[in-house]
Amino acid sequence: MNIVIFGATTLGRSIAEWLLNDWHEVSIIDNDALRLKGTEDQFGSIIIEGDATHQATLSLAGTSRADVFIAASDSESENMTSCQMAKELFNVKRTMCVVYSDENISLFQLLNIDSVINATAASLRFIKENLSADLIISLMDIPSSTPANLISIRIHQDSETIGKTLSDLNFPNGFSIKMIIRSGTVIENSVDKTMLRANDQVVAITDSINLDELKELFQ
Amino acid sequence: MHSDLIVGFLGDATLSDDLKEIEILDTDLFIATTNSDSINALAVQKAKLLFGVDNVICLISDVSKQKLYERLGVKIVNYSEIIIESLIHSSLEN
Amino acid sequence: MDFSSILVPVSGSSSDKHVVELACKLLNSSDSHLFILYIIEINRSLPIDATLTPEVARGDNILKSMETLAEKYNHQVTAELLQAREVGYAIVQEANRKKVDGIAMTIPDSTKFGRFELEKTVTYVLKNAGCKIVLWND
Repeated sequence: MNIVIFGATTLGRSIAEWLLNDWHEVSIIDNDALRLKGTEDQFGSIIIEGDATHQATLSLAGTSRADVFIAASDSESENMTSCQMAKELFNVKRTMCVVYSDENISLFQLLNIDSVINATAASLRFIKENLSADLIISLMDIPSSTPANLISIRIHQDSETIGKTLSDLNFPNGFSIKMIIRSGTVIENSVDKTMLRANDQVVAITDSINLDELKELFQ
Repeated sequence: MHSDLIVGFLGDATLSDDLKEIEILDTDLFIATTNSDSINALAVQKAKLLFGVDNVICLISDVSKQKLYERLGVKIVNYSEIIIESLIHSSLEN
Repeated sequence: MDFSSILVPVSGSSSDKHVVELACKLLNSSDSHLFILYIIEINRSLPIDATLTPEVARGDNILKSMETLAEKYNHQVTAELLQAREVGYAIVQEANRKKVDGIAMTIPDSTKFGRFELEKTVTYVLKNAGCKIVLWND
């Protein structure tokens, strides 16, 4: 695939590295000479210096041939404009836009940007998961006709569920356990009959929006 | 013009909270005139699509963006074009 | 000044022959090596391995005539045609890969709006190459 990235930011460069390792063709646009120099030293001649919200720059970067356009600069308004230009003027099939708050997500989706990624929320989710401050963390909304949620439940050391199996517990309808992660190994077979231990991470799918009921169950 | 008809707000016009502060829902016409094309485009699209302001005008300096946003139903004023036109006009007069 | 290998990027300009001869004279002995490089810059609207038949034919012709010119000097001569996104980057990469002692190149059209300005490929090579650089200005 041919992928054009806007923003030689840490994020943009990490995306480039991952794609290049997978043998994709990557071009990266930025207007900061210093950031571009670092990118070129790291990856070679994949850089285009210029304003990614100008048609000429996008054209130089080969956007007309791109399968995917990823806007990962630190300006949300420029990310938006460049994605709209990639889509409307260069007919790029898939445009992805990085945002840093929930503020613009619904607007950007209305504007036909194919994927809007909240970088802050993604990092926060990761930190929450690792700090285990919350017992239950939503990992992903699963888009379907009946909304479902992929969640992770960490078994607290004082939890009353320790020593019980999942089939002993009275789960609400529409809740199903997919796996248990225990000290770095994954238990997938007969998860229902596995006795829970402190610090186990239970990964499950639920259709309930209200996670409080589940929280009580695992206290 | 009476100065008490003009009220200034300090805020970020790309943020919904700040737009609500200026009673965007009761606004008849929204004009974005910062010197950033992208910030103007973000503010007017938000006003139009999220807050239902029918009449939006967006100041743009770049011709390629003008075509794009006109297609998306935004009224564009391209000030580079206006400046060039008036330069040509005044040079013809002399 | 001792050079045992020199890279000369050529582009079909009238100064190519001067630079090739200069490089040949700078090389120290008969077992020294002259690399002549013709680089086709491929616009990103095309894939890097796009076949640009007229461009390749032009490059081959230029390389052939430069090779003939260099043969008189009894050095080892290698002529190569490359496709790249950026000429400057490709020159520096090739120089590193071939571990040459020097790069000899011309300065194309150096005046812009009546003011002298070093062209971007030359600027890039001067900034980034890890070997000696000889510049020719007509």
